[in-house]
Amino acid sequence: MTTAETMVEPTAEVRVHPYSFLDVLRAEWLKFRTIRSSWWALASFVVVTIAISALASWAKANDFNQHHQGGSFDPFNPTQFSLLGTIFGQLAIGVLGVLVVTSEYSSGTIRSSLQAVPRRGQLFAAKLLVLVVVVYVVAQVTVVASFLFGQVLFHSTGHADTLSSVGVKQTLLSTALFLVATAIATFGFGFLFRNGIGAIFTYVGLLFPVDIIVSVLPNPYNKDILKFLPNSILFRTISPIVTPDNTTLFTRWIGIALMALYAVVLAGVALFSFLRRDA
Amino acid sequence: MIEVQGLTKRYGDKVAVRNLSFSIKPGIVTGFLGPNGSGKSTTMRMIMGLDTPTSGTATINGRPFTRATRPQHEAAALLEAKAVHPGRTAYNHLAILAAANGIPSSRIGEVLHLVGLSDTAKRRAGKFSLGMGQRLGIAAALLGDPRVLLFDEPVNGLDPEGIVWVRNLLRALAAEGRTVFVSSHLMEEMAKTADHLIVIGQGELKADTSVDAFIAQNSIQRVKVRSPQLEVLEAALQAQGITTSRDGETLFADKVTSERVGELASAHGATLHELHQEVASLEDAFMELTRESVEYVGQTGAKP
Repeated sequence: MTTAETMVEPTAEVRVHPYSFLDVLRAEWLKFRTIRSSWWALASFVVVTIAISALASWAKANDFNQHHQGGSFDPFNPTQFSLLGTIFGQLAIGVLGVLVVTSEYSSGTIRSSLQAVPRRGQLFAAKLLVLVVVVYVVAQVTVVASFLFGQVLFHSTGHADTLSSVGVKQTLLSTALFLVATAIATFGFGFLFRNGIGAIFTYVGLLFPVDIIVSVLPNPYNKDILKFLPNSILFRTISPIVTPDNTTLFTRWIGIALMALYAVVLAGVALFSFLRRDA
Repeated sequence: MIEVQGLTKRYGDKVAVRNLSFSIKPGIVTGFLGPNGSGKSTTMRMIMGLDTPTSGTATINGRPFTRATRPQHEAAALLEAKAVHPGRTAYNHLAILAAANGIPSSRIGEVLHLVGLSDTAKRRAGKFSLGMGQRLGIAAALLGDPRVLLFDEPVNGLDPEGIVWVRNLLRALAAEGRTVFVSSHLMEEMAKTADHLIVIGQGELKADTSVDAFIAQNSIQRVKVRSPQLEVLEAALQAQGITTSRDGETLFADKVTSERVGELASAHGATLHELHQEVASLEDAFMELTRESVEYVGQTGAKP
Protein backbone atom coordinates (compact mmCIF):
# COMPACT_ATOMS: atom_id res chain seq x y z
CA MET A 1 0.00 0.00 0.00
CA THR A 2 1.18 3.46 -0.69
CA THR A 3 1.12 6.43 1.60
CA ALA A 4 -0.35 9.84 0.95
CA GLU A 5 3.07 11.04 -0.25
CA THR A 6 3.19 8.75 -3.26
CA MET A 7 0.22 10.52 -4.82
CA VAL A 8 1.09 11.35 -8.39
CA GLU A 9 -0.69 13.85 -10.57
CA PRO A 10 -3.85 12.11 -11.71
CA THR A 11 -3.80 14.18 -14.89
CA ALA A 12 -1.30 12.38 -17.01
CA GLU A 13 -2.51 13.73 -20.36
CA VAL A 14 -4.88 11.03 -21.57
CA ARG A 15 -6.00 11.07 -25.17
CA VAL A 16 -9.62 10.03 -25.24
CA HIS A 17 -11.54 9.81 -28.50
CA PRO A 18 -15.25 9.30 -28.87
CA TYR A 19 -15.77 5.58 -28.46
CA SER A 20 -16.97 3.32 -31.23
CA PHE A 21 -18.82 0.01 -31.37
CA LEU A 22 -15.48 -1.62 -32.23
CA ASP A 23 -14.08 -0.46 -28.86
CA VAL A 24 -17.07 -2.01 -27.09
CA LEU A 25 -16.59 -5.26 -29.03
CA ARG A 26 -12.92 -5.36 -28.07
CA ALA A 27 -13.86 -4.89 -24.40
CA GLU A 28 -16.49 -7.62 -24.55
CA TRP A 29 -14.04 -10.04 -26.15
CA LEU A 30 -11.52 -9.29 -23.42
CA LYS A 31 -14.26 -9.79 -20.82
CA PHE A 32 -15.15 -13.16 -22.35
CA ARG A 33 -11.54 -14.29 -22.40
CA THR A 34 -10.75 -13.25 -18.83
CA ILE A 35 -13.29 -15.32 -16.96
CA ARG A 36 -12.57 -18.98 -16.39
CA SER A 37 -16.19 -20.07 -16.64
CA SER A 38 -16.22 -19.18 -20.36
CA TRP A 39 -13.41 -21.63 -21.02
CA TRP A 40 -14.85 -24.28 -18.70
CA ALA A 41 -18.18 -24.15 -20.52
CA LEU A 42 -16.56 -24.37 -23.95
CA ALA A 43 -14.23 -27.18 -22.89
CA SER A 44 -17.15 -29.10 -21.37
CA PHE A 45 -19.09 -28.71 -24.60
CA VAL A 46 -16.24 -30.03 -26.74
CA VAL A 47 -15.39 -32.97 -24.47
CA VAL A 48 -18.97 -34.02 -23.72
CA THR A 49 -20.10 -33.77 -27.35
CA ILE A 50 -17.20 -35.72 -28.81
CA ALA A 51 -16.98 -38.29 -25.98
CA ILE A 52 -20.68 -39.16 -25.89
CA SER A 53 -20.92 -39.24 -29.68
CA ALA A 54 -17.90 -41.54 -29.83
CA LEU A 55 -19.35 -43.81 -27.15
CA ALA A 56 -22.68 -44.06 -29.00
CA SER A 57 -20.97 -44.69 -32.35
CA TRP A 58 -18.62 -47.28 -30.92
CA ALA A 59 -21.50 -49.14 -29.25
CA LYS A 60 -23.59 -49.08 -32.42
CA ALA A 61 -20.68 -50.22 -34.59
CA ASN A 62 -19.99 -53.12 -32.24
CA ASP A 63 -23.62 -54.11 -32.12
CA PHE A 64 -23.84 -53.99 -35.91
CA ASN A 65 -20.69 -56.04 -36.41
CA GLN A 66 -21.93 -58.74 -34.02
CA HIS A 67 -25.42 -59.12 -35.38
CA HIS A 68 -25.10 -58.35 -39.04
CA GLN A 69 -21.86 -60.01 -40.04
CA GLY A 70 -22.59 -60.96 -43.61
CA GLY A 71 -26.33 -60.84 -42.90
CA SER A 72 -29.01 -58.54 -44.16
CA PHE A 73 -28.46 -54.81 -43.79
CA ASP A 74 -30.52 -53.20 -41.06
CA PRO A 75 -30.27 -49.49 -41.91
CA PHE A 76 -28.86 -47.16 -39.26
CA ASN A 77 -27.93 -43.50 -39.23
CA PRO A 78 -24.14 -43.17 -38.75
CA THR A 79 -24.18 -39.35 -38.90
CA GLN A 80 -26.84 -39.08 -36.22
CA PHE A 81 -24.91 -41.45 -33.94
CA SER A 82 -21.74 -39.41 -34.40
CA LEU A 83 -23.60 -36.26 -33.28
CA LEU A 84 -25.67 -37.68 -30.42
CA GLY A 85 -23.34 -36.06 -27.89
CA THR A 86 -24.71 -32.63 -28.85
CA ILE A 87 -27.87 -33.47 -26.92
CA PHE A 88 -25.74 -33.29 -23.77
CA GLY A 89 -23.19 -30.81 -25.09
CA GLN A 90 -25.93 -28.23 -25.74
CA LEU A 91 -26.25 -27.82 -21.96
CA ALA A 92 -22.75 -26.38 -21.73
CA ILE A 93 -23.54 -23.92 -24.52
CA GLY A 94 -26.77 -22.93 -22.77
CA VAL A 95 -24.90 -22.40 -19.51
CA LEU A 96 -22.29 -20.30 -21.33
CA GLY A 97 -24.99 -18.04 -22.76
CA VAL A 98 -26.37 -17.49 -19.26
CA LEU A 99 -22.99 -16.95 -17.59
CA VAL A 100 -21.66 -14.26 -19.93
CA VAL A 101 -24.57 -12.15 -18.68
CA THR A 102 -25.09 -13.21 -15.08
CA SER A 103 -21.38 -13.05 -14.18
CA GLU A 104 -21.74 -9.27 -14.68
CA TYR A 105 -24.68 -9.11 -12.31
CA SER A 106 -23.27 -11.40 -9.62
CA SER A 107 -20.00 -9.46 -9.48
CA GLY A 108 -21.56 -6.02 -9.88
CA THR A 109 -19.42 -5.23 -12.93
CA ILE A 110 -22.57 -4.42 -14.90
CA ARG A 111 -22.47 -1.01 -13.18
CA SER A 112 -18.90 -0.31 -14.27
CA SER A 113 -19.63 -1.70 -17.75
CA LEU A 114 -22.54 0.71 -18.12
CA GLN A 115 -20.42 3.61 -16.95
CA ALA A 116 -17.94 2.86 -19.73
CA VAL A 117 -20.71 2.16 -22.25
CA PRO A 118 -23.83 4.04 -21.15
CA ARG A 119 -25.65 3.20 -24.37
CA ARG A 120 -27.14 -0.09 -23.31
CA GLY A 121 -28.10 -1.28 -26.77
CA GLN A 122 -24.44 -1.17 -27.78
CA LEU A 123 -23.33 -3.12 -24.73
CA PHE A 124 -26.02 -5.73 -25.36
CA ALA A 125 -25.17 -6.05 -29.06
CA ALA A 126 -21.42 -6.32 -28.50
CA LYS A 127 -21.83 -8.94 -25.79
CA LEU A 128 -24.20 -10.96 -27.97
CA LEU A 129 -22.02 -10.70 -31.05
CA VAL A 130 -18.96 -12.00 -29.19
CA LEU A 131 -21.01 -14.91 -27.85
CA VAL A 132 -22.49 -15.76 -31.26
CA VAL A 133 -19.13 -15.75 -33.06
CA VAL A 134 -17.36 -17.79 -30.38
CA VAL A 135 -20.17 -20.33 -30.12
CA TYR A 136 -20.49 -20.70 -33.88
CA VAL A 137 -16.77 -21.26 -34.42
CA VAL A 138 -16.37 -23.69 -31.51
CA ALA A 139 -19.61 -25.52 -32.28
CA GLN A 140 -18.87 -25.88 -36.00
CA VAL A 141 -15.39 -27.26 -35.41
CA THR A 142 -16.61 -29.59 -32.66
CA VAL A 143 -19.54 -30.89 -34.69
CA VAL A 144 -17.31 -31.65 -37.69
CA ALA A 145 -14.71 -33.31 -35.45
CA SER A 146 -17.38 -35.37 -33.72
CA PHE A 147 -18.77 -36.45 -37.10
CA LEU A 148 -15.36 -37.41 -38.48
CA PHE A 149 -14.36 -39.31 -35.35
CA GLY A 150 -17.69 -41.15 -35.35
CA GLN A 151 -17.24 -42.18 -38.97
CA VAL A 152 -13.80 -43.59 -38.16
CA LEU A 153 -15.53 -45.76 -35.56
CA PHE A 154 -18.11 -46.84 -38.12
CA HIS A 155 -15.45 -47.70 -40.70
CA SER A 156 -15.47 -51.41 -39.71
CA THR A 157 -19.19 -51.64 -40.53
CA GLY A 158 -18.65 -50.56 -44.09
CA HIS A 159 -21.55 -48.11 -43.73
CA ALA A 160 -19.76 -44.93 -42.56
CA ASP A 161 -20.96 -41.62 -44.01
CA THR A 162 -18.61 -39.13 -45.60
CA LEU A 163 -18.80 -35.34 -45.81
CA SER A 164 -20.31 -35.75 -49.26
CA SER A 165 -23.02 -38.23 -48.22
CA VAL A 166 -26.58 -37.02 -48.71
CA GLY A 167 -27.54 -34.24 -46.26
CA VAL A 168 -24.33 -34.42 -44.20
CA LYS A 169 -23.07 -30.92 -44.92
CA GLN A 170 -26.50 -29.43 -44.13
CA THR A 171 -26.60 -31.50 -40.94
CA LEU A 172 -23.22 -30.26 -39.74
CA LEU A 173 -24.08 -26.63 -40.52
CA SER A 174 -27.57 -26.71 -39.00
CA THR A 175 -26.35 -28.46 -35.83
CA ALA A 176 -23.89 -25.62 -35.22
CA LEU A 177 -26.68 -23.10 -35.94
CA PHE A 178 -28.95 -24.86 -33.45
CA LEU A 179 -26.26 -24.40 -30.80
CA VAL A 180 -25.88 -20.71 -31.69
CA ALA A 181 -29.66 -20.27 -31.29
CA THR A 182 -29.43 -22.00 -27.90
CA ALA A 183 -26.74 -19.58 -26.77
CA ILE A 184 -28.79 -16.55 -27.90
CA ALA A 185 -31.88 -17.83 -26.10
CA THR A 186 -30.07 -18.47 -22.80
CA PHE A 187 -28.29 -15.12 -23.14
CA GLY A 188 -31.81 -13.70 -23.06
CA PHE A 189 -32.64 -15.74 -19.94
CA GLY A 190 -29.51 -14.29 -18.35
CA PHE A 191 -30.73 -10.72 -18.77
CA LEU A 192 -34.26 -11.60 -17.69
CA PHE A 193 -33.22 -13.43 -14.53
CA ARG A 194 -29.92 -11.61 -13.78
CA ASN A 195 -29.15 -14.66 -11.72
CA GLY A 196 -27.26 -17.70 -12.97
CA ILE A 197 -29.12 -20.31 -10.95
CA GLY A 198 -32.57 -19.06 -11.96
CA ALA A 199 -31.70 -18.77 -15.63
CA ILE A 200 -29.95 -22.15 -15.86
CA PHE A 201 -32.71 -23.87 -13.92
CA THR A 202 -35.33 -22.48 -16.29
CA TYR A 203 -33.35 -23.42 -19.38
CA VAL A 204 -32.63 -26.99 -18.29
CA GLY A 205 -36.19 -27.34 -17.02
CA LEU A 206 -37.59 -26.41 -20.42
CA LEU A 207 -35.24 -28.86 -22.06
CA PHE A 208 -35.69 -32.11 -20.14
CA PRO A 209 -38.65 -32.46 -17.76
CA VAL A 210 -40.93 -30.81 -20.32
CA ASP A 211 -39.99 -33.48 -22.88
CA ILE A 212 -41.00 -36.22 -20.48
CA ILE A 213 -44.24 -34.57 -19.42
CA VAL A 214 -45.28 -33.93 -23.03
CA SER A 215 -44.40 -37.44 -24.19
CA VAL A 216 -46.82 -39.04 -21.72
CA LEU A 217 -49.73 -36.96 -23.02
CA PRO A 218 -52.26 -38.90 -25.15
CA ASN A 219 -51.68 -39.28 -28.86
CA PRO A 220 -51.66 -37.19 -31.05
CA TYR A 221 -51.31 -34.22 -28.65
CA ASN A 222 -47.90 -35.39 -27.53
CA LYS A 223 -46.54 -35.47 -31.07
CA ASP A 224 -48.08 -32.09 -31.90
CA ILE A 225 -46.43 -30.42 -28.93
CA LEU A 226 -43.25 -32.47 -28.91
CA LYS A 227 -42.13 -31.26 -32.31
CA PHE A 228 -41.94 -27.67 -31.00
CA LEU A 229 -39.49 -28.58 -28.24
CA PRO A 230 -35.77 -27.91 -28.70
CA ASN A 231 -34.73 -31.51 -28.08
CA SER A 232 -37.00 -32.76 -30.87
CA ILE A 233 -35.64 -30.13 -33.20
CA LEU A 234 -32.07 -31.11 -32.33
CA PHE A 235 -32.83 -34.81 -32.78
CA ARG A 236 -34.09 -34.08 -36.29
CA THR A 237 -31.27 -31.61 -37.00
CA ILE A 238 -28.50 -34.18 -36.41
CA SER A 239 -30.05 -36.61 -38.88
CA PRO A 240 -29.08 -36.05 -42.52
CA ILE A 241 -32.10 -38.00 -43.79
CA VAL A 242 -35.75 -38.55 -43.02
CA THR A 243 -36.12 -41.77 -41.02
CA PRO A 244 -39.17 -43.50 -39.52
CA ASP A 245 -38.41 -42.08 -36.05
CA ASN A 246 -38.39 -38.46 -37.19
CA THR A 247 -41.23 -38.29 -39.72
CA THR A 248 -43.55 -36.64 -37.18
CA LEU A 249 -41.00 -33.87 -36.52
CA PHE A 250 -40.51 -30.60 -38.35
CA THR A 251 -38.08 -30.76 -41.25
CA ARG A 252 -34.55 -29.50 -40.71
CA TRP A 253 -34.89 -25.89 -41.81
CA ILE A 254 -38.33 -25.37 -40.32
CA GLY A 255 -36.90 -26.63 -37.03
CA ILE A 256 -33.91 -24.30 -37.28
CA ALA A 257 -36.22 -21.39 -38.18
CA LEU A 258 -38.28 -22.19 -35.09
CA MET A 259 -35.14 -22.19 -32.92
CA ALA A 260 -34.18 -18.87 -34.47
CA LEU A 261 -37.62 -17.54 -33.61
CA TYR A 262 -37.28 -18.66 -29.97
CA ALA A 263 -33.85 -17.06 -29.79
CA VAL A 264 -34.95 -13.76 -31.35
CA VAL A 265 -38.03 -13.49 -29.14
CA LEU A 266 -36.07 -14.20 -25.96
CA ALA A 267 -33.22 -11.86 -26.90
CA GLY A 268 -35.73 -9.18 -27.91
CA VAL A 269 -37.62 -9.36 -24.62
CA ALA A 270 -34.27 -9.37 -22.79
CA LEU A 271 -33.12 -6.24 -24.65
CA PHE A 272 -36.40 -4.49 -23.92
CA SER A 273 -36.00 -5.33 -20.24
CA PHE A 274 -32.32 -4.32 -20.17
CA LEU A 275 -33.10 -0.93 -21.73
CA ARG A 276 -35.81 -0.15 -19.21
CA ARG A 277 -34.84 -1.69 -15.90
CA ASP A 278 -32.51 -0.07 -13.39
CA ALA A 279 -29.05 -1.62 -13.55
CA MET B 1 -20.73 20.36 -13.47
CA ILE B 2 -23.57 18.15 -12.29
CA GLU B 3 -27.12 19.46 -12.39
CA VAL B 4 -30.06 17.78 -10.77
CA GLN B 5 -33.58 19.14 -11.33
CA GLY B 6 -36.66 17.91 -9.50
CA LEU B 7 -35.17 14.43 -9.30
CA THR B 8 -37.58 11.86 -7.89
CA LYS B 9 -37.29 8.10 -7.57
CA ARG B 10 -40.19 5.99 -6.43
CA TYR B 11 -40.18 2.24 -5.80
CA GLY B 12 -43.82 1.25 -5.64
CA ASP B 13 -45.23 3.65 -3.06
CA LYS B 14 -41.92 4.14 -1.28
CA VAL B 15 -40.18 7.36 -2.27
CA ALA B 16 -36.40 6.99 -2.23
CA VAL B 17 -35.59 10.43 -3.61
CA ARG B 18 -38.07 13.31 -3.54
CA ASN B 19 -37.86 16.36 -5.78
CA LEU B 20 -34.11 16.94 -5.38
CA SER B 21 -32.57 19.96 -7.08
CA PHE B 22 -28.97 21.09 -6.77
CA SER B 23 -25.90 21.76 -8.85
CA ILE B 24 -22.36 20.62 -8.16
CA LYS B 25 -19.65 23.00 -9.28
CA PRO B 26 -16.19 22.18 -10.56
CA GLY B 27 -13.01 23.06 -8.68
CA ILE B 28 -14.28 22.17 -5.22
CA VAL B 29 -15.12 19.03 -3.29
CA THR B 30 -18.86 18.81 -2.65
CA GLY B 31 -19.92 16.48 0.12
CA PHE B 32 -23.17 14.54 -0.16
CA LEU B 33 -24.22 13.93 3.38
CA GLY B 34 -27.10 11.88 4.68
CA PRO B 35 -27.82 8.93 6.95
CA ASN B 36 -27.67 5.44 5.50
CA GLY B 37 -30.74 4.81 3.39
CA SER B 38 -31.41 8.49 2.74
CA GLY B 39 -31.14 8.16 -1.04
CA LYS B 40 -27.50 9.16 -1.68
CA SER B 41 -26.60 6.06 -3.69
CA THR B 42 -29.87 6.14 -5.63
CA THR B 43 -29.22 9.78 -6.55
CA MET B 44 -25.70 8.98 -7.71
CA ARG B 45 -26.91 6.03 -9.78
CA MET B 46 -29.47 8.27 -11.46
CA ILE B 47 -26.78 10.86 -12.25
CA MET B 48 -24.71 8.09 -13.87
CA GLY B 49 -27.69 6.85 -15.89
CA LEU B 50 -27.81 3.48 -14.13
CA ASP B 51 -31.25 4.05 -12.62
CA THR B 52 -34.02 5.91 -14.42
CA PRO B 53 -35.64 8.72 -12.45
CA THR B 54 -39.40 8.51 -11.92
CA SER B 55 -39.39 12.21 -12.75
CA GLY B 56 -36.88 15.03 -13.03
CA THR B 57 -33.52 15.15 -14.73
CA ALA B 58 -29.86 14.73 -13.91
CA THR B 59 -27.21 16.02 -16.31
CA ILE B 60 -23.45 16.01 -16.47
CA ASN B 61 -21.97 18.97 -18.34
CA GLY B 62 -25.40 19.79 -19.70
CA ARG B 63 -26.59 16.44 -20.98
CA PRO B 64 -27.68 13.10 -19.57
CA PHE B 65 -24.70 10.81 -19.04
CA THR B 66 -26.30 8.14 -21.25
CA ARG B 67 -25.55 10.39 -24.23
CA ALA B 68 -21.85 10.81 -23.43
CA THR B 69 -19.51 10.23 -26.37
CA ARG B 70 -16.39 9.87 -24.21
CA PRO B 71 -18.08 8.39 -21.14
CA GLN B 72 -15.10 7.70 -18.92
CA HIS B 73 -13.52 11.03 -19.79
CA GLU B 74 -16.69 12.96 -19.07
CA ALA B 75 -17.58 11.34 -15.75
CA ALA B 76 -16.73 8.35 -13.62
CA ALA B 77 -18.12 7.05 -10.38
CA LEU B 78 -16.95 4.77 -7.62
CA LEU B 79 -20.31 3.41 -6.58
CA GLU B 80 -19.61 0.24 -4.65
CA ALA B 81 -16.59 -1.50 -3.32
CA LYS B 82 -15.38 -4.56 -5.19
CA ALA B 83 -17.55 -4.33 -8.30
CA VAL B 84 -14.97 -6.59 -9.91
CA HIS B 85 -15.28 -10.15 -11.15
CA PRO B 86 -13.44 -12.19 -8.51
CA GLY B 87 -11.70 -14.31 -11.14
CA ARG B 88 -10.21 -11.38 -13.02
CA THR B 89 -6.95 -9.66 -12.27
CA ALA B 90 -6.90 -5.99 -11.38
CA TYR B 91 -5.03 -5.35 -14.63
CA ASN B 92 -7.63 -7.13 -16.77
CA HIS B 93 -10.50 -5.38 -15.00
CA LEU B 94 -8.99 -2.04 -15.98
CA ALA B 95 -7.97 -3.26 -19.45
CA ILE B 96 -11.62 -4.06 -20.23
CA LEU B 97 -12.78 -0.61 -19.16
CA ALA B 98 -9.93 1.02 -21.09
CA ALA B 99 -10.73 -0.97 -24.24
CA ALA B 100 -14.40 0.02 -24.09
CA ASN B 101 -13.53 3.69 -24.49
CA GLY B 102 -10.38 3.34 -26.59
CA ILE B 103 -8.18 4.53 -23.73
CA PRO B 104 -4.48 3.69 -24.37
CA SER B 105 -3.38 0.72 -22.28
CA SER B 106 -0.41 2.70 -20.96
CA ARG B 107 -2.95 4.47 -18.76
CA ILE B 108 -3.69 1.23 -16.88
CA GLY B 109 -0.22 1.10 -15.32
CA GLU B 110 -0.47 4.78 -14.44
CA VAL B 111 -3.68 4.48 -12.46
CA LEU B 112 -2.53 1.24 -10.80
CA HIS B 113 0.61 3.06 -9.67
CA LEU B 114 -1.46 6.02 -8.55
CA VAL B 115 -3.57 3.92 -6.18
CA GLY B 116 -0.64 1.78 -5.05
CA LEU B 117 -1.73 -1.49 -6.65
CA SER B 118 1.15 -1.93 -9.11
CA ASP B 119 2.47 -4.97 -7.26
CA THR B 120 -0.91 -6.69 -7.13
CA ALA B 121 -1.98 -5.96 -10.72
CA LYS B 122 -1.70 -9.61 -11.75
CA ARG B 123 -3.56 -11.02 -8.77
CA ARG B 124 -7.17 -12.10 -8.95
CA ALA B 125 -9.46 -9.49 -7.48
CA GLY B 126 -11.32 -12.14 -5.47
CA LYS B 127 -8.33 -12.22 -3.13
CA PHE B 128 -8.42 -8.46 -2.54
CA SER B 129 -9.24 -6.92 0.83
CA LEU B 130 -12.04 -4.37 1.01
CA GLY B 131 -9.45 -1.60 1.07
CA MET B 132 -7.68 -2.93 -2.03
CA GLY B 133 -11.02 -3.31 -3.78
CA GLN B 134 -11.75 0.31 -2.95
CA ARG B 135 -8.39 1.37 -4.39
CA LEU B 136 -9.07 -0.62 -7.55
CA GLY B 137 -12.44 1.11 -7.82
CA ILE B 138 -10.68 4.46 -7.54
CA ALA B 139 -8.18 3.40 -10.22
CA ALA B 140 -11.09 2.48 -12.51
CA ALA B 141 -12.71 5.85 -11.86
CA LEU B 142 -9.51 7.72 -12.77
CA LEU B 143 -8.84 5.67 -15.90
CA GLY B 144 -10.44 8.04 -18.40
CA ASP B 145 -9.06 11.22 -16.77
CA PRO B 146 -12.64 12.30 -16.00
CA ARG B 147 -13.81 15.88 -15.60
CA VAL B 148 -16.54 14.83 -13.18
CA LEU B 149 -16.05 12.30 -10.39
CA LEU B 150 -18.58 10.74 -8.04
CA PHE B 151 -17.51 8.72 -5.03
CA ASP B 152 -20.02 6.82 -2.92
CA GLU B 153 -18.60 6.33 0.58
CA PRO B 154 -15.01 6.03 -0.70
CA VAL B 155 -13.35 5.62 2.70
CA ASN B 156 -15.41 2.58 3.69
CA GLY B 157 -13.07 -0.24 4.56
CA LEU B 158 -9.94 1.89 4.45
CA ASP B 159 -7.41 2.11 7.26
CA PRO B 160 -6.63 5.58 8.74
CA GLU B 161 -3.72 5.98 6.35
CA GLY B 162 -5.99 5.14 3.42
CA ILE B 163 -8.59 7.62 4.62
CA VAL B 164 -6.02 10.42 4.62
CA TRP B 165 -4.88 9.31 1.17
CA VAL B 166 -8.42 9.44 -0.25
CA ARG B 167 -9.02 12.81 1.37
CA ASN B 168 -5.88 14.25 -0.22
CA LEU B 169 -6.70 12.66 -3.57
CA LEU B 170 -10.21 14.16 -3.62
CA ARG B 171 -8.82 17.59 -2.80
CA ALA B 172 -6.11 17.28 -5.45
CA LEU B 173 -8.66 16.24 -8.08
CA ALA B 174 -10.84 19.24 -7.25
CA ALA B 175 -7.81 21.56 -7.26
CA GLU B 176 -7.21 20.49 -10.86
CA GLY B 177 -10.59 21.96 -11.75
CA ARG B 178 -12.61 18.75 -11.74
CA THR B 179 -16.07 18.38 -10.29
CA VAL B 180 -15.84 16.13 -7.23
CA PHE B 181 -18.99 14.85 -5.54
CA VAL B 182 -18.46 12.54 -2.60
CA SER B 183 -21.04 10.94 -0.34
CA SER B 184 -20.66 10.03 3.29
CA HIS B 185 -22.77 9.40 6.33
CA LEU B 186 -20.04 10.86 8.54
CA MET B 187 -20.13 14.62 9.07
CA GLU B 188 -16.67 14.79 10.64
CA GLU B 189 -15.16 13.20 7.54
CA MET B 190 -16.94 15.68 5.28
CA ALA B 191 -15.85 18.63 7.42
CA LYS B 192 -12.25 17.63 6.70
CA THR B 193 -12.71 16.91 2.99
CA ALA B 194 -15.46 19.01 1.48
CA ASP B 195 -15.83 22.68 0.67
CA HIS B 196 -19.55 22.53 0.04
CA LEU B 197 -22.29 20.31 1.39
CA ILE B 198 -25.50 18.86 0.07
CA VAL B 199 -27.37 17.32 2.99
CA ILE B 200 -30.28 14.97 2.40
CA GLY B 201 -32.52 13.06 4.71
CA GLN B 202 -35.43 10.83 3.75
CA GLY B 203 -34.65 11.55 0.11
CA GLU B 204 -35.22 15.27 0.52
CA LEU B 205 -32.82 18.18 0.39
CA LYS B 206 -32.07 19.42 3.92
CA ALA B 207 -29.22 21.82 3.24
CA ASP B 208 -27.15 23.15 0.34
CA THR B 209 -24.46 25.23 1.94
CA SER B 210 -20.73 25.77 2.30
CA VAL B 211 -19.04 23.70 4.96
CA ASP B 212 -17.91 26.88 6.75
CA ALA B 213 -21.45 28.22 6.87
CA PHE B 214 -22.75 24.87 8.06
CA ILE B 215 -20.20 24.79 10.86
CA ALA B 216 -20.91 28.40 11.85
CA GLN B 217 -24.64 27.76 11.92
CA ASN B 218 -24.56 24.46 13.63
CA SER B 219 -21.63 24.31 16.00
CA ILE B 220 -23.22 25.80 19.09
CA GLN B 221 -20.65 27.09 21.53
CA ARG B 222 -21.90 27.70 25.04
CA VAL B 223 -20.46 28.01 28.49
CA LYS B 224 -21.85 26.18 31.51
CA VAL B 225 -21.50 28.09 34.80
CA ARG B 226 -22.33 27.30 38.43
CA SER B 227 -22.01 30.03 41.01
CA PRO B 228 -23.57 31.04 44.36
CA GLN B 229 -24.08 34.50 42.78
CA LEU B 230 -25.88 33.21 39.72
CA GLU B 231 -28.30 36.18 39.47
CA VAL B 232 -25.45 38.69 39.48
CA LEU B 233 -23.64 36.78 36.77
CA GLU B 234 -26.79 36.35 34.69
CA ALA B 235 -27.48 40.11 34.79
CA ALA B 236 -23.84 40.89 33.90
CA LEU B 237 -23.91 38.53 30.88
CA GLN B 238 -27.23 39.85 29.64
CA ALA B 239 -25.94 43.43 30.02
CA GLN B 240 -23.25 42.42 27.49
CA GLY B 241 -25.93 41.20 25.07
CA ILE B 242 -25.19 37.53 25.71
CA THR B 243 -28.10 35.13 25.61
CA THR B 244 -28.42 32.98 28.71
CA SER B 245 -30.62 30.20 29.96
CA ARG B 246 -31.10 28.63 33.37
CA ASP B 247 -31.43 25.00 34.34
CA GLY B 248 -31.92 24.96 38.13
CA GLU B 249 -28.62 26.05 39.66
CA THR B 250 -26.82 25.96 36.31
CA LEU B 251 -26.50 28.83 33.86
CA PHE B 252 -25.74 28.48 30.16
CA ALA B 253 -24.29 31.40 28.18
CA ASP B 254 -24.54 31.03 24.42
CA LYS B 255 -21.90 31.86 21.80
CA VAL B 256 -19.29 33.06 24.20
CA THR B 257 -15.92 31.80 25.41
CA SER B 258 -15.19 30.59 28.94
CA GLU B 259 -12.49 33.31 29.21
CA ARG B 260 -15.09 35.99 28.66
CA VAL B 261 -17.45 34.56 31.27
CA GLY B 262 -14.57 34.14 33.75
CA GLU B 263 -13.52 37.76 33.27
CA LEU B 264 -17.08 39.01 33.74
CA ALA B 265 -17.48 36.91 36.89
CA SER B 266 -14.25 38.35 38.30
CA ALA B 267 -15.30 41.94 37.44
CA HIS B 268 -18.61 41.45 39.27
CA GLY B 269 -17.16 39.60 42.23
CA ALA B 270 -19.00 36.35 41.52
CA THR B 271 -17.48 33.14 42.83
CA LEU B 272 -17.29 30.34 40.28
CA HIS B 273 -17.96 26.71 41.26
CA GLU B 274 -17.85 25.49 37.70
CA LEU B 275 -16.89 27.00 34.36
CA HIS B 276 -17.04 24.72 31.32
CA GLN B 277 -16.90 25.35 27.57
CA GLU B 278 -19.30 23.10 25.67
CA VAL B 279 -18.94 22.55 21.89
CA ALA B 280 -21.68 20.63 20.15
CA SER B 281 -20.03 18.49 17.53
CA LEU B 282 -20.82 18.73 13.82
CA GLU B 283 -21.99 15.17 14.08
CA ASP B 284 -24.65 16.33 16.57
CA ALA B 285 -25.71 19.13 14.24
CA PHE B 286 -26.01 16.73 11.34
CA MET B 287 -27.97 14.22 13.41
CA GLU B 288 -30.27 17.03 14.53
CA LEU B 289 -30.87 18.08 10.92
CA THR B 290 -31.68 14.59 9.70
CA ARG B 291 -33.15 13.08 12.84
CA GLU B 292 -36.71 12.91 11.57
CA SER B 293 -35.50 11.25 8.41
CA VAL B 294 -33.68 8.55 10.30
CA GLU B 295 -36.76 7.77 12.37
CA TYR B 296 -38.95 7.80 9.29
CA VAL B 297 -36.68 5.36 7.47
CA GLY B 298 -36.71 3.12 10.54
CA GLN B 299 -40.48 2.92 10.65
CA THR B 300 -41.30 2.32 7.01
CA GLY B 301 -39.94 -0.17 4.58
CA ALA B 302 -42.80 -2.61 4.86
CA LYS B 303 -43.05 -2.68 1.09
CA PRO B 304 -39.83 -3.41 -0.73
